[in-house]
Amino acid sequence: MSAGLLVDAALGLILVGLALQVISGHQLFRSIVFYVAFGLVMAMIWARLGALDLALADAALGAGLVGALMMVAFRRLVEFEPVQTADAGARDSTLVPVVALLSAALVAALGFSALPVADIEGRAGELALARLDELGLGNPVAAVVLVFRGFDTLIEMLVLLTAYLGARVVAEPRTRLAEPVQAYELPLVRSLLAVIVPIVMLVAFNLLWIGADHPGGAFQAGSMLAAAGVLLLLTGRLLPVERSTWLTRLALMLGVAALLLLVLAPMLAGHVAMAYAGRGALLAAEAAMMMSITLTLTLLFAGAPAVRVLR
Amino acid sequence: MNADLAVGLVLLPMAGALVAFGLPAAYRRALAAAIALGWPLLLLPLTLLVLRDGSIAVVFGDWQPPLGIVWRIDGLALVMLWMHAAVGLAALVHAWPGFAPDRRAAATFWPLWLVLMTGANLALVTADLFNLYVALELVTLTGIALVAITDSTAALRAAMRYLLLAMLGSLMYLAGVGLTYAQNGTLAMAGITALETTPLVLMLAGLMVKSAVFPLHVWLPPAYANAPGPVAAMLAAVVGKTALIALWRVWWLAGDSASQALAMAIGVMGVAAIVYGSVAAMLHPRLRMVVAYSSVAQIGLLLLLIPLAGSDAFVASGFHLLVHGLAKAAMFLAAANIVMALGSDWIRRLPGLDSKLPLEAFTLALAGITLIGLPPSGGWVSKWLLLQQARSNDQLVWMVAILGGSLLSAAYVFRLLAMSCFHASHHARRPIVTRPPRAGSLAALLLALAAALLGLNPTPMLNLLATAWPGAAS
Amino acid sequence: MNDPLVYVLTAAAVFGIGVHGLIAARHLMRKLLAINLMLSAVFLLLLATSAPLGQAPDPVPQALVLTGIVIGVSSTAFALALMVRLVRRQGHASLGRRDER
Repeated sequence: MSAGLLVDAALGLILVGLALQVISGHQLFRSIVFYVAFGLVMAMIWARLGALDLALADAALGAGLVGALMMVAFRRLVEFEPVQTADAGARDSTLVPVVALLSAALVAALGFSALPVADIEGRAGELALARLDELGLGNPVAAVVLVFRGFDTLIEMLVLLTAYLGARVVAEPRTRLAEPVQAYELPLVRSLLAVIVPIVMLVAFNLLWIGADHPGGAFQAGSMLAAAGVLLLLTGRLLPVERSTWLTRLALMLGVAALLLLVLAPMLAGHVAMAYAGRGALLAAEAAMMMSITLTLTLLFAGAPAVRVLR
Repeated sequence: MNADLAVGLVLLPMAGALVAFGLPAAYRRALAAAIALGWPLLLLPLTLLVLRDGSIAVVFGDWQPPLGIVWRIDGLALVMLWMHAAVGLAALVHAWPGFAPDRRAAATFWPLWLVLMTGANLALVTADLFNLYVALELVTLTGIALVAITDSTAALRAAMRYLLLAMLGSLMYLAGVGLTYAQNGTLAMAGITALETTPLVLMLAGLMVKSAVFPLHVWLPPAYANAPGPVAAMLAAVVGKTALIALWRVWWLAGDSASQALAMAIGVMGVAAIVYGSVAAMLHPRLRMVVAYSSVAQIGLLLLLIPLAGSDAFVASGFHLLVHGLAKAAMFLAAANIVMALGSDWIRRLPGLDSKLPLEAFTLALAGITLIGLPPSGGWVSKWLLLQQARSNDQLVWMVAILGGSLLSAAYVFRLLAMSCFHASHHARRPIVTRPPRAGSLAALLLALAAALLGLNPTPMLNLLATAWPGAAS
Repeated sequence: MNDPLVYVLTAAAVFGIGVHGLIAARHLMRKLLAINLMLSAVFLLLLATSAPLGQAPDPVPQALVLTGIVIGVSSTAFALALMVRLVRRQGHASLGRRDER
């Protein structure tokens, strides 16, 4: 037991140390690297807490993709202005640490006030576990995300699509940002891609397939695949293009559309909105979500409305 | 079966957004128009249902709370849905030429416009704390993207500031929701029996950022003032108002257990907002900033419902939300036309407006009357009811605040009108830069007229709102 | 099971560090990093203060955090795109009043 506590304490300390590194130092790039490390340690903590779905999601999305997005944004800033120092004229007021300490104390107090965790009879989580068998699913988190609180997930997918639309709004008009036009033809890159990309795809499809019963699912799988997309963009196998085809747009909105169908289709069949349509329908919706998540995140990284494959 | 129609309130604009996004850019605007025009066909049967039954409930997947997500459409939500429909249609008419398919911004504007409607309607009808969170995220993210669509440095700065603050607000709200779940075992509003001060304050603080309550309002004036006219109208009437209604609803969750001191503190914030917003509106040299700061003041007035805490105050505030939303949207649409015509939004350029743009000057005057609360406008009804409530509660402080707020708003409205209408004749001869499209002027005028005329026969609306008063049940 | 106390303290410290970063930093990228730290701290707090069900944490807070992560990523992605555009427009990466030109 005390060994477990030691691990928890060590992970907590490492996390705090990494957080400190993220906000200090002169170099922004260094901060981003530390943020990725922070996300990975965060994933370990989720695993320690028994939340494996979150561990997977935070490792792939929180650390991996946000890190990649930050780095590509950083590169675009550097293209514009080579010197990007983080602390140019940073505020040295003594008030800042005071405010920071106060807010930390506030959060600690908040946690302590909630801490003897109340075990409420008949709470939603308990009911979700109790009714899991009715659905034929094994993963309670997937049941909550896709069935019991499926409508939240529908809106969440729409938020992701909105992020893409928002990024389109603020995109540079008529300039091509990503320039690695010639593909890297080093033999090593080719064989590396030949190994990594299929493995990533296998892992992602596996995550999607088992997501109904075990930790995993569309978000985790989609962000893994998007990582492969990032790799292909970086090595010039995927090229950003300035016009999206209807096929791209269809793939981007497929996830929202699939969940929308999960709400509507039961109504057309005379049931209530979003009545449970069975495991198969759920898996199909998750596959659609995975495709949309992959493409949205890849395009957010590319900073372009669409990509095409280099022949 | 009829109640199932309610799902369409969110799914119809959502499906519209998807189809619009999938279609070639040339057809997106027409699709948005089709949905805006067909909207009343959906709202009418729902209105009849609410009038008959008092409210409509939707339980998704038949997973009853505490497990699942429920919606509840009451009188307040219904009134606001109609307001969304009216302002949305007016904004659409106004945006029609500016976001024509050949413009680059149009490709994203129309899908985003439909997504904004989706999120705003969801935020009104949902009775689930986390569903509300995702709805508000959708609304804010879309709103910010639409502010950035102007693509000027000022608009991008405003959007960035809005986004940073919105992210802060949503993380506070999320923390409050999580703690609420830990103590209640459910996220359905109806199932929340014990709301302690800590999660309550966290959620309120988050929603205060999103609804721009002074001193958390700093994102609002630049965002509203730099957005395109139709977007500013939607932000003022739809985005800000849904967050404010969410704030009320969260406050009512605490019921009688909410401390009196907290209610007083919120009232004081409201008064501070009234004073600060009005004074800033009086002093600012730019037209759209004046209109935006006036929103800061009006949000303060709408906060007074919390310490006033009575059915009259509730009905009055709901009604004020409606008329203020209409009037403010009208003002932003008119202001956008004025800026287009004069080529600048400096107030010192306003002289001569009455002869150059008579429709816009008249719109400003009508909407201004509603903001001040002069009879027979809708604003008069709501302020009168608020005053009555304050008197019957013996809460003199809030009475003074309401009256003082009206006087202050009179000052900034008359400043605009005096600058526009009383001037030496040579001002009228300075030429107009670009004549704004007539349809947009009429749309703004109709909104202002609606706000003003609602005061003539407010009783049906007030009765409808009264059915939604959460204190009625207890 | 592990002691939630450790993670409550961790969350508090990370949140405070995030607040510090948010106020002290001028560069927008670092402000975004700081907000993301605060977001992680809130997620950690939510899970640490929820009562476990059997071996695993309550699935409902897990689902909330999962949704929160995705929404956080979406907001951050849009914020980064907005930041790049803003920097190219105004020439520098801060929002301070002094920097207004």
